[in-house]
Amino acid sequence: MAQNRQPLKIGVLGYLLVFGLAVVPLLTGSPASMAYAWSFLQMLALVLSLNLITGFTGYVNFGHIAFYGVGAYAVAYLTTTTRIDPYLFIPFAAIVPAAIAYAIGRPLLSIRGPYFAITTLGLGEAVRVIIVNIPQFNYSEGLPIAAYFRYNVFNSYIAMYITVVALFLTTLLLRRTRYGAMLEAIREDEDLAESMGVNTRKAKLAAYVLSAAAAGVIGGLTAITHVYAHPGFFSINLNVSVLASLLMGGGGTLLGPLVGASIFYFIADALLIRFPYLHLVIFGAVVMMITLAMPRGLSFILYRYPKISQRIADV
Amino acid sequence: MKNKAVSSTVVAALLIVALVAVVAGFFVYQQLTAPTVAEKPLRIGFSISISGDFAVPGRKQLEGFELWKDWINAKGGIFVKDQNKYYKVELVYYDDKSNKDEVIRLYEKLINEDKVDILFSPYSSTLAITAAGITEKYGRLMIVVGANSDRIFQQGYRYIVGTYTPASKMLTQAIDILLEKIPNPTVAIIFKDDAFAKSVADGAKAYAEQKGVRVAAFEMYPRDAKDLSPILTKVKGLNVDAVLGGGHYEDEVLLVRQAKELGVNVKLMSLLVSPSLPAFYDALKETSEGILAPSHWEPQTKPNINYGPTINEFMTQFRQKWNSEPSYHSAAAFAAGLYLTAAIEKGGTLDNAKLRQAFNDLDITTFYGRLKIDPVTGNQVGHELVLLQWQKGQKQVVWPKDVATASLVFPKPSW
Repeated sequence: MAQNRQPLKIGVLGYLLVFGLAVVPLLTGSPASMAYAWSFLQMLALVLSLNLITGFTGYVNFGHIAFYGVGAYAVAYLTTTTRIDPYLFIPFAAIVPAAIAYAIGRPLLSIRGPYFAITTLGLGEAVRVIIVNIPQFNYSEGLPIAAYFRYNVFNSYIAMYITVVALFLTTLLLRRTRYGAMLEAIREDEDLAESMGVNTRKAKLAAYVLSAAAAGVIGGLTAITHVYAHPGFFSINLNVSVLASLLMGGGGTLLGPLVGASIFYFIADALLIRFPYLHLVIFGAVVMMITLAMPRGLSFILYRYPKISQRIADV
Repeated sequence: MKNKAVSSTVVAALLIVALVAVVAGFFVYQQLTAPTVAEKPLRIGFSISISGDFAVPGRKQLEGFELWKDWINAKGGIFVKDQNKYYKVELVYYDDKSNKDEVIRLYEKLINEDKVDILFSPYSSTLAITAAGITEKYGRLMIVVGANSDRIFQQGYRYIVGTYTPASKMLTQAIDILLEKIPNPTVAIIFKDDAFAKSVADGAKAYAEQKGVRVAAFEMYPRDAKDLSPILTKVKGLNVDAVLGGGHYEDEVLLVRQAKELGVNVKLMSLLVSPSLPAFYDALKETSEGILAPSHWEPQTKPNINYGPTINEFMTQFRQKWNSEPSYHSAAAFAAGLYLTAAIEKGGTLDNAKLRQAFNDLDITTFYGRLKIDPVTGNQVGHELVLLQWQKGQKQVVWPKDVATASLVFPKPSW
């Protein structure tokens, strides 16, 4: 069934194109274009990281932002206490959220469907409330780090670029390997997958931990670029934006996150500038139209045209 | 049938894509055809809270900036010696919705895309400390106005200049008064979880303890608190002489309302921000009677002005332009502009690092009061506060005595 095949070949091409284009700001050295492209790469990285759990296994995760925030705080806290280069702490931005995800993942992932979504909805807020009550994290003010290192726009950009490339490779790997197929089986029918011999519990948990680690790294890098970790990192709005981008683009695919992040970033930004008050209404309408027309995501539009899709999609 | 259904959704999707492309194309076209200005003005960028929690004082601050821009442009602009040119001033600003994430995005935009020459801070310490990180990372000068948490100046930032008296000194006058009126007073310090209020509270606690005043309660309430009765009930039980603290406008009004409801009667009550705003009286009416607050500026003060307009000129022009009364937020914003003007005239350059140096040797007295910074931190050391009190619907200056417009009502009447 053509419906179940997902764009891969064109996906790879799309990413290569983006990676090529994303080198341009580095060559021109313009901080403005770098800051703009950085924000896009950050959005793309977040969508790719959420894709690992929500896209592949179908577990709709509203608590992704918790790991993003924890990663940010891990980097900022270690930087303020040790006063050395924050990039050295990026591994901690992966390890700490991954450990948390591992600890809470087992009970959490035994909840399915909308119940999982609702439970994770509380997670980001719970972590935020814990953090704003910790004196070492300076309550709701958070941790500014600009004074502890010399910010360099190139480093910040390259770090995010590498993160996106790594996430792209991970996604590509999942699309090609047996493990990825297991996750997809969980998404299509978890009970059936289990009866076929897939250790669903283990597979889900691994995807969840991986996704949390990725979100933590992105959070850590964002804290460095914003020279600040604060409770605003746990904003549910960001979580919803990332989720909406993933669903618009098409979860569990390679092309989907790219399409979703692009729509979200460029359209939402343009609307914000043009319609400061109505932008959310207009954007909401765009999201609704896309979802109605393409419930599996915009990247599936290719399969409306089997002749084209056979040539450029999947291998 | 099936084919038909499919093709209609395809058409719908394509229409959306086309629509999106047209919209995007339109924006690109607008960007490309934007008019260029021949004589480039001096662009000063900032974000300001036009909506959200800080909208009331934020707008007052914005009105002050705007008035300064008109004033300086009417005088022909700012003279920059090393270019031998007069620069007209242009303000580039956006609404930050009182939100930290917006502040980060907007200051990146102001510096990178709008390429402004110099920056003002957003209103409130919590937003200014966020913006200060961004300006520091690009090495850009920012005049901090509407924000005075000591934490902003303790970060080691090299490109900031303060204009408000530091937060840690904001309640010291109230404690002095208390000591003058009653022996061995006890106080309760209540404050919002916020960079500004926390610096005020820490400063007040340190000062009180140094003067031998007992701090019976030192309680922080959450940023989004909708109910302060648990803390107030506790304070009521402690039977203190004074309640000091607060945070910003909304929570302070809530604090007064609930203190009245619970019958928390004290001899002295000093808040931080809201009593200086006319909206405070509108919200509380006679409940405001006897409430004190520090103020960075009041029109009754009499500084020995050696730079810029007089208080009368400022008041007249402000009323003319905005048809309302200025608050200290407006005066400080105007003064921040004057301070910057003086530094540019003295430094003779727009180079941000050299300008920051120029501030070090500057000691001026404007209608807003004296302005002089600590050369290392950039924190304000020259400016002095006054203490005001609401008396029968009027805002009166009651301290220091040489500028007082009325004598202090003490103890504060019961609710």
